[in-house]
Amino acid sequence: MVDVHIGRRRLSLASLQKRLLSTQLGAQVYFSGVVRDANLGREVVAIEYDVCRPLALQSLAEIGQEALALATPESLVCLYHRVGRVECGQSSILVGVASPHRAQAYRMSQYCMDEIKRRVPIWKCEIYADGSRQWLSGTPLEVPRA
Amino acid sequence: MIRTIQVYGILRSRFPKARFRFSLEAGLTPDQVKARLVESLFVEESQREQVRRLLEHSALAGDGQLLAAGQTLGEAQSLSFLPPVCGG
Repeated sequence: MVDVHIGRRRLSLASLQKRLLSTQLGAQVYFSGVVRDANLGREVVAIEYDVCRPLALQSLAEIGQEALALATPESLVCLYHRVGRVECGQSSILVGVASPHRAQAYRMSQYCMDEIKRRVPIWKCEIYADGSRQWLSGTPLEVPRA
Repeated sequence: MIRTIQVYGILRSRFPKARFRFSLEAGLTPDQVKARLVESLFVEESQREQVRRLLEHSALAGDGQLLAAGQTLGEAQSLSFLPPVCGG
């Protein structure tokens, strides 16, 4: 099962844990990406996330399915991304996976984060303590072959 | 043909209206669309160069699907410009 979500509300690790609870899946791995208070020597107060929602949801679902293929069909993958303004110290992304064994769970979690950074149309604009803002550079999307 | 065009991320800093309407006929490739936008919307050569560089690494999506490099625009397709991504 794959569950994806993109929204403006705070992410809850407790709800994610509840979602992944299963007596058949002995390994659960959670990853939370948190907005840091500094980047490249500048004081960061928040990050504003922009999203192309339909394509982002589609990409997250694809990545989730690909991650499942690394484990067993009964495994679970939850990919939750926050958009809009996310304050320093708050979570911008939660990745939660559950599988029968830990090696698969670690692999799925790592795969999801790597692919999200490369393939999901989401962008971040850092907001600094002095009030200035800057869009961060990223990875060009891979376009399909003609 | 008038189409709705949406830009995201860093492109918002160059296109004050993140969503705007622009005339583009069917049959254009993504590269031709980018060139048309730069030539029509930016007068100063320095601005054109900056926007050209930004668009160069951006993907073009039509009606929710990424367009391949040589793919041509269909009729009445709404478009989105997607700059390099950095989620997470």
